[in-house]
Amino acid sequence: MLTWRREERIGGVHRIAIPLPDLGPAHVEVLFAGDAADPRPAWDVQDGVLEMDLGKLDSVLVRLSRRVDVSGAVPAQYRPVA
Amino acid sequence: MHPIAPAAERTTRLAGTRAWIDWQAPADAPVRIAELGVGRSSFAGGGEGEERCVALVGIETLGGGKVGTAGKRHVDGVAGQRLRYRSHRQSASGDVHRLEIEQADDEAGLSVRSIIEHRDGIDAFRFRHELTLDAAAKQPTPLAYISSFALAGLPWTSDARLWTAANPWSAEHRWRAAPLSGYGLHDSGMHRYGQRGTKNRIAIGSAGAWSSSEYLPMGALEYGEGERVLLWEVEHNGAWQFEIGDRVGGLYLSVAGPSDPEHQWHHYLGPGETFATVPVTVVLSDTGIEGAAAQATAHRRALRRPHQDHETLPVVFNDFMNCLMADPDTEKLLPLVEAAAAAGAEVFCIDAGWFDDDPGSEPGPGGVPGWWDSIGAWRESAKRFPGERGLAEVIDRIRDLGMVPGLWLEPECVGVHSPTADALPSAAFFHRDWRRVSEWGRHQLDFGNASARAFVDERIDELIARYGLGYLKFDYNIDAGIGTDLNSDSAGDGLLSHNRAYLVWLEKLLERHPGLTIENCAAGGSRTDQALLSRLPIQSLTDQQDHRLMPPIAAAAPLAVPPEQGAVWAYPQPEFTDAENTFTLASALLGRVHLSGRIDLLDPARAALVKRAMDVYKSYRHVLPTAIPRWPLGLPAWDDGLVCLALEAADGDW
Repeated sequence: MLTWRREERIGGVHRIAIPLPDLGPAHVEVLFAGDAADPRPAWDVQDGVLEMDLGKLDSVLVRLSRRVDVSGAVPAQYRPVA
Repeated sequence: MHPIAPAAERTTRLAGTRAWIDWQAPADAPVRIAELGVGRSSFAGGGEGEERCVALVGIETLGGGKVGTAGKRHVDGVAGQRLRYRSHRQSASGDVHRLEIEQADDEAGLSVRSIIEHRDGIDAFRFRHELTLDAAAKQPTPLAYISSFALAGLPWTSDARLWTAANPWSAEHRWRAAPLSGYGLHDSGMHRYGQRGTKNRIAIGSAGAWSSSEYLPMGALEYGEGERVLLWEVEHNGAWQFEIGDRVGGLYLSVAGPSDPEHQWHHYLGPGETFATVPVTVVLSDTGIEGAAAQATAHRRALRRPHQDHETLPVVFNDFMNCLMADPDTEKLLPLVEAAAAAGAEVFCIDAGWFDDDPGSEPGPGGVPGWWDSIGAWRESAKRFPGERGLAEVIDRIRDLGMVPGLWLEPECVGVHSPTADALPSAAFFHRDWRRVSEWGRHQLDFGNASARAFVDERIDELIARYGLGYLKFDYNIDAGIGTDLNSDSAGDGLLSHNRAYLVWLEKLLERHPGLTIENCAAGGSRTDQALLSRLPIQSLTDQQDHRLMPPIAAAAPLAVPPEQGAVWAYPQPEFTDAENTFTLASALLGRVHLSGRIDLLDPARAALVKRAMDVYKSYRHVLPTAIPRWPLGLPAWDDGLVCLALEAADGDW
């Protein structure tokens, strides 16, 4: 999934939320964000929403993987919040 | 064939995996679609009685008129109203199922064969019709309008919204959905006084040689949010039109290729001759516009000519955009070739200007550089590529570094200052009223003419053989207008003949050179249509030069272009910040990468960023040819500050 933020007049780093109601629990892997070795923090998909911190001119390519664990267990950070 | 017509009160169902069409063949009226739907969702119920129906094939002839007061609407043409059912049959070949319905007007000697196809697992139907005039007919039939798809009885409810996609140059794929009143169609209530409707219509179309320079040849009706969607697509590389109007309380939709009033098209169908309409595909969804996009994408993949490029998705470097801008030479190209190879490019395409001696950076009269109106001979410039080996020196270096060499051409255009303009016979070019068409310094070749085709074939075959080319970018930077009236029934018919001849010519070129990849470009996306996308594997989406304006184009494009075919410019620059270079690179990463920019001038850190982007792309590009598009924030508006595109892979990852 590719997200662009282009709000140069607003500026700053903002937390943005992407609704993903169809996805369910998913592992978020940053594939390309331009930072050296892409060291963005590990974001979560929680309650069907992915929240990310994006700069005023920013773009982030992530992989959202539904296969959260080879054992079938869902890691705590990806479990739906009751 | 079934020789006996189904009774009017009985419907016959053409059933796909989930989608279906119910059609009727009354004894006293032409065949019509009564209803169609997908799953439990139906697209019918608006309007009442016989008058709400429209013929399966709407036909108008010059001077033949319509039944009732249709005004400008393309409904109730007399020639179509006179058709009566004769027979039908269903057949299957592999996963393709076909229904053929024969109708005829015995008095006029006109028969019509309607061909409706669908594929297993895809909620789409493809329509086309073949009109044949009896060989014993005394005079030709002057065809003026033929619908490829026509349906009435669509509900006109308050939740109905029409999707259209304006497609302006460098701001392509501008989808919007609005109530029909937002397009000017209002319920005047006059059907309660015995009228069929308002006599008004919403008409969207394209006249001229660019099929998508104003609107994409698509549209959709959506009912509710994320519910029923009926999407249609004209599979034609020339003129087209669709219209929606009210009819006895419901809506009708008619979709067609060129017509007399809109496109100066008429065609004399002679005794024993057959005319085929342009194909139209109708997609049905019960999961909103995203569901329709998934089905349309699947249908496009099933329909297109197979090509290895669809699977391998090589990274293409092209020297044009925010790079050499049509001013290539050996000295400028060689460093770019090295940089492109280091970045991971797999194809290197030399864009415009390689054939012209004049400096490309200095626009001449009319704001165009010298190469613009000298195109058409397709021989390398010795001034740009000096030395004994000329252009081959650059081409060989591209190949030595493991990349496939490519060249830019505009095969349909000949500059007014090109020697080809005088070398070819006059009939090889578009004409209007005996004058050769000139548009912005170019003439338009008529590919219906054998001399034109033979000349371009000879030049392209020679270029491929001489340089070992594996990639050609076919551009088309002018709209040659309504058509040509030289050796044609009408200007619009001349354009249609050229459009169809161009498609056949492409197929023969690919048959002669099966490993060749051809990119479709028309000043970017001005010919984004399925006639070309089904034949050529890669589509240039835009000529947008500002990386900040690219996201809404790249994000919206998969509704019309499968992601493995849609090429987006990525043009990193030495003066860009990391954020800017990341931004321009990222924009191409969920489609096809058209890498450009002055990558030969990047410092090591910026060059490493480009290389990393290409490496990442190569790590997952194999999933793109089966992925379907999703828009978590909705389809992007032009000014959106936040834009998002997801591709749902076959394994469920996004």
